[in-house]
Amino acid sequence: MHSFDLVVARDVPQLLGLLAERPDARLVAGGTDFIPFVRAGKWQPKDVIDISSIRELCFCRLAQGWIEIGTLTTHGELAASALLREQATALSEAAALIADPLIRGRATVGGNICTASPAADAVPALLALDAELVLASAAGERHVPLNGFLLGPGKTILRPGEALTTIRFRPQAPGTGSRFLKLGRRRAMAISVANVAALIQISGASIVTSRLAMGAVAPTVVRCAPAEAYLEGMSADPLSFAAAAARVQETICPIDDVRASAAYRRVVAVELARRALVEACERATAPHPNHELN
Amino acid sequence: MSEHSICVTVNDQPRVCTVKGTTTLLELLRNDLGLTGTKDGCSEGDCGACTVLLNGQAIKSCLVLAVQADGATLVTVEGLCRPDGSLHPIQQAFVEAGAVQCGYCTPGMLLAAKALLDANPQPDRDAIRAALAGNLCRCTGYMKIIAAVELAAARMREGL
Repeated sequence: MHSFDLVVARDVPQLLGLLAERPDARLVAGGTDFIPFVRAGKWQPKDVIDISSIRELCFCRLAQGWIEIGTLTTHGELAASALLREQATALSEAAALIADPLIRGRATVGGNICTASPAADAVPALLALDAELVLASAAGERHVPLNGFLLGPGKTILRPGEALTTIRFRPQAPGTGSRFLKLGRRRAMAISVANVAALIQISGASIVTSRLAMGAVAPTVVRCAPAEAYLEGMSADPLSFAAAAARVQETICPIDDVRASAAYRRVVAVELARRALVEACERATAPHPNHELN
Repeated sequence: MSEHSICVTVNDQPRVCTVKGTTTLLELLRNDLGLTGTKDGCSEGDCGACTVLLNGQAIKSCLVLAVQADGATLVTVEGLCRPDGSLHPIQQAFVEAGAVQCGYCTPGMLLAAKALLDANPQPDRDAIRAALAGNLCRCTGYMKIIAAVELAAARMREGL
């Protein structure tokens, strides 16, 4: 493996101090992307900071009207959270479908975001939930929307010396449902061919709010703004969702790769989006609570 | 390059080791501690042959840096058998059910199965499949592995 200098941070102040001295250091937590990427030479860090033992960054809680998730919370912990199952169903589902149980027990949500894979599974759900990120450095904290954080494969707006510490979003309002769907080549250990998260809020028979985000169909996970705009104020019926799903074509720009062709992705993206919207709406209209999974 | 002194408890034995920052837990177990029962299949987390228990949780040791295991309790396949040398009920069930062919995936399968049965003593077939979803076997077709885990679960519930 490519050689690097490693230091261990035990708490957040120590991490921010180490990052100030080594602003270009790469952070390692769950290691499930880090180790394969370094072995393959894709990442060649000179300095590495191990943050896996910072317990204070591992939490999932409701606080002052926000659901807050620490960056080091694993996908297994997200999938096991009753709070998320009820209040962020799509995120709960996405976390349960990543890789396999062994990797879910190590891989962190902060890693899923900061690795900036176009096929990240937690990211569409977090985009559909309008998540915000807390980025910390020795100079202080800033809050940024997740929408806009990702610039391209492996690229984010994180500045040198800065680390993601917390992800937060509002609990689902009454009359809201969300759904995550993933298409992979197999049911475990699959990098998504395409994935989608939808969130629908209804009032009476019409749609008040809609969110639709897709992965593995563009250089970053993307919000499908034309589809969302089409749905606002429309009646919550299958024709609306089919018409909105067709509009994902205006947002996506998939590529051919080892998992699927661009042409195939264009076809399945529309159908995945349609199903996710319909199923999110079913949950929005279901009697409370809307935490039934599968 | 940085060197780190770490303490781990491996199969009930406390060990103090000096490792590089780049050393994986799999390399520590196999190369430094000589515990070659843990297999190196793909080195990138896809196959599960290197599965061990870290603080009771099944993990892929090729995806963990040795430094990250500092202070941890580890169980490898060498630590499964009873103090008198007899096989663990999961190992015995794998033998009897014919769940072993070439054997390369077996240590990882055993430890993934142990983590499952420690958390859920009465898993159904879907729960067994889900727990072993990241452990590949290219020989058996999985049916006998699943049957072995069911057999082991039944025996362990009876306290055998």
